Amino acid sequence: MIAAINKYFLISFFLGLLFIIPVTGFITPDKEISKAENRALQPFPHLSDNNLKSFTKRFDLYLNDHFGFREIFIKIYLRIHDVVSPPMTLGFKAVTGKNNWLYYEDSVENYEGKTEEKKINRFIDELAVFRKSISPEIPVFIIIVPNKAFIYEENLPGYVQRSSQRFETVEKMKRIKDVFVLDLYDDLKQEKKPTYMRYDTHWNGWGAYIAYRNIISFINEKLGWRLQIKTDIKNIETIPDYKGDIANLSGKAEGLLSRNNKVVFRSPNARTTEKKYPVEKGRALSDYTNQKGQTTVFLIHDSFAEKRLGENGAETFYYIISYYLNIFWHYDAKDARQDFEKARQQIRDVEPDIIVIELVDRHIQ
Amino acid sequence: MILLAASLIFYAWGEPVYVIIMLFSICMNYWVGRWIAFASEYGKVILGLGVFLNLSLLFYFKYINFFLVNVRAIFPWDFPIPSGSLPLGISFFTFQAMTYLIDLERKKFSPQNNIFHLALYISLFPQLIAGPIVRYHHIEKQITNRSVTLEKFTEGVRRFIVGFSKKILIANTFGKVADEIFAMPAQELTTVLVIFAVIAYTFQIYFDFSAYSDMAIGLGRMFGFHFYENFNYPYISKSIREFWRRWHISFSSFLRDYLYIPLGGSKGGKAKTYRNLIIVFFLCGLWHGAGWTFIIWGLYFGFFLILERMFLGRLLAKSPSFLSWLYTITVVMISWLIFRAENLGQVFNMLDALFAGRYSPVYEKYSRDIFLQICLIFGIIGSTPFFKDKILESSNRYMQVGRDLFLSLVFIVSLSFLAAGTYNPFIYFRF
Repeated sequence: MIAAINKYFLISFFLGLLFIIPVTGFITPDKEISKAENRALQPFPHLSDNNLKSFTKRFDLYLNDHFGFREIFIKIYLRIHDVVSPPMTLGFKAVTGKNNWLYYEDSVENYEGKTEEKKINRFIDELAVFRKSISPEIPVFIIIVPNKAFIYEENLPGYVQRSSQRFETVEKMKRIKDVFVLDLYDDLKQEKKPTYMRYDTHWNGWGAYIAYRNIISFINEKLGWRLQIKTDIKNIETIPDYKGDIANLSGKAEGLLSRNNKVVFRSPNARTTEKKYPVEKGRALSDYTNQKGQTTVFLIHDSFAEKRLGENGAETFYYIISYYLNIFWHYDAKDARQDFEKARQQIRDVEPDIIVIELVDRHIQ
Repeated sequence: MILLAASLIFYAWGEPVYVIIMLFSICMNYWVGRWIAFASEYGKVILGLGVFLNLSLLFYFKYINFFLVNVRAIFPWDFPIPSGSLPLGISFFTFQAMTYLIDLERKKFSPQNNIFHLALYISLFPQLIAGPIVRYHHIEKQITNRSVTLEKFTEGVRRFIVGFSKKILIANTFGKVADEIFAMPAQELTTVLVIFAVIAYTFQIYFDFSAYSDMAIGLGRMFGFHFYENFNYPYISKSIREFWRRWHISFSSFLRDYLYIPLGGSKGGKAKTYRNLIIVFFLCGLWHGAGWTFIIWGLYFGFFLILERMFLGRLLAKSPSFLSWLYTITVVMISWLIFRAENLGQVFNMLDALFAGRYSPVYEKYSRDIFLQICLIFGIIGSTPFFKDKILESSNRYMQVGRDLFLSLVFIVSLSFLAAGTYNPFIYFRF
C-alpha cells in the first residue's frame, strides 16, 4: 500500500510539475524585468529574419526566462546560496554575499584582517615620511573611508570573520606626527539611510554627503575654521542598486544590472588641468573652482572622492587640486615613494591651504 | 508514430536544417539494410558500401575541416577551409546505424521492413544526442511491442530525476571551477589550481555524461524501452582495462565488437594485439573530436593498456587494491586534462604548472565554497555504488518513501538552479 502511494505520489509530482510549469508560463502575461535578478527578460522572438536556427535558440531563451513560477525558483536558488554562502561564484574580483550583495574580494580580505602587518607598517612609514617632507605650516588630514564590508557586514557570506586589524591600523595612523586622522566608520555605520550600493564598491550620493559633512566639520574643529557645509541636500543623488562596478568587473553585469543602466565611472564635473600638472596616463588631475570660498585644498584620493569633494566640496572650497594616486591601485613601497614625490612637487607649485589624503580601507594592504 | 514524430521534432528543434541529414541517414540505412538481406551473397560488399556511406557522412561533417587544416599545414598548398557546424549527435546516430547494418550482415536479426520502425530506432529522442549507442537487436522487439507499467514509469521518473540533478547540481558546479581555471593564462596557473581543475573536470565529465545516460535510460523506461547501462562506476576501477569496461560501455563495447575483434583482437600474438589496441584507441580519440588533443588522449589510453598487457596488469593484480585504484584514477585524471585542454600548448602549460610548485591564494575561494564542498561529498559518494545499493534500490519500505521524498526535493532544487543558471549544454552534445 505504502509502495503504491509512493509511486503515485512521485509520478503525480513529476508529471504535475511538467504540466503546470509550462502551462502557467504560457497563460500568465510575460514580464519585461525579473525583480529577483534585476535584469531584462528575453522577449518573445519573431521569425522576421528568416533564420530558423536563431529563432529556435531565441525561443529557448524566451522559455527559460518565462516558464511558470520562475521567480519562485529563482528565490529558492538565492535562498540556498544565502545558506551555503559560496564565496565567489561571479568572478575573481567579486564575492557574493547574502541578498545578492557584491563585495570586492580585496575588501573582504581586508575585513578578515589578512593584510601583512609588515605591509601596513611600511605604508604608514611612507605616509609619515611624506608628512615630514611637507611644510609644517600646511595641515595634513588623513580621511579613512571604511570598506562596504564593514558598513554592511550583515550581508557578507557566513564564512567571513571580522578582524580588528582595520581599527588597529587606524590607531597606528593616528600616531603619525602632525596629521589629523578622521575615521568615517562610526558616522557611516550609524546612518539609517543606505550609504553604499549593493552591486558597487562605492558609497551612494547620500553616503558621500555624510562623509563630506563630517570632513568639513572635522577640519573646522581642528583648525578653528568656519567652512560652510552645503545645506541643500534635496538634489543629492542616491544611485539605485542596479548600478555597480563590481557587477561589471565580475562579468555578471548582464545578469544583475538592467541593460540600460550599466555604471560607467564618471569624470569629476570640472575642467581638467592636465597641462599644468601632467600625471601618468589614466590618472586624472582635475580641479574644481567656485567663487564662494577662499580655501585651496590639495586632495589625494581615488574614485570615492569624485562624488564627495568633487560635487559637494566645490560649494565649500575655492580650489581643489585633485590628485589621483597610483598607490591606491597597486600598493608597493617603491610606487608610493615615487607617487608621493610627484605629489610633493605639485604641492610646492600649488601651495595649498590644506592637504587631504583620502584612504579607502582596502587600499591599506 | 507519435514517438517518431516527437523524436524528429525534437531533433529539428535543435537542428532545423540538419534534420535532413538525419532523414537521409534513415533512408540510406533502410535501403542498404534491405539490399544486404536480399543479396546476401554480396552481403559484405554491400555492408562495406553502407559503412563507407555512413563514415563519409561523419567525415564530411566532423573531420573534413581538421583534415584540410592539417593538409594545408603539411603541404605548401593554399586553399580555403570550409566552415560549418557539426550536426547534433551525428557521431551517435551514425554509429547506431552502422551497428544495424553490421549485425544484419552477421544475421543476428532480419531486416526491418518498416522504414518508420527503423527511423524510430535511429532517431529515438531520449538517447539521440549523446547516447548510449543502442544496438538494434537489443530493442528490436520493443519498437513494436513494449509495455508501460506503473512500476517501469516510476523507475523511469526516478532515474530521470537522478540524471537531471546530477547534471544541474554536481556537473555544472564542478564545470564552473574547471572552466575558470582552464581559462586562466598560463603564468597564473599553480600546482594547486591545476589539481583543482583536474579534480573538478574529472567529476564534471562523469556526472555530466552519466547524467545524460541516466536521463535517456529513465525517459526510455517511461516509454517502455529498456536501454542497457552506459556506466558502471568507472572511478572505482583498479586498472585502465577495467576502467574501459565501466566507462561509456555502449561505445567501448562497440569498439570491441566492431573494430578490435574484427582486427584480430588478442589472438594474433603480442605485436598484433598491441597494434590493434593502438588502432582502436587512436580511433576512439578521433571519434571524440577532430583535434590532436583527442587523438593523443586516445593513444595515451592505448599506451597504458599495452603496458598493462605487457607487465603492469600482473603487477596491479598483486598490488593492494588501494594502490591499483590510485594508479588508475591518476592515469584517468591526467587523461581528462589532455581531453579538456583547448590545444597541446595548454596541455604542456598545465602539466608544467602541475609540477612547478607555485603557490596561489586563489585556491582559498574554492576551499571556502560550502556548496562546492557539498557537491564534492556527493560527487565522491556518487562515484561509488553506495547510493544505488543502500538508497536507490533499497528494499526497505520506509527507505523507499524517504528516497522518493528526497528525489522530489532534489528535483525542485535542480529546477531552481536551472532557472537561475545560464544555458549549459551537456559535454557530449558536441561529439
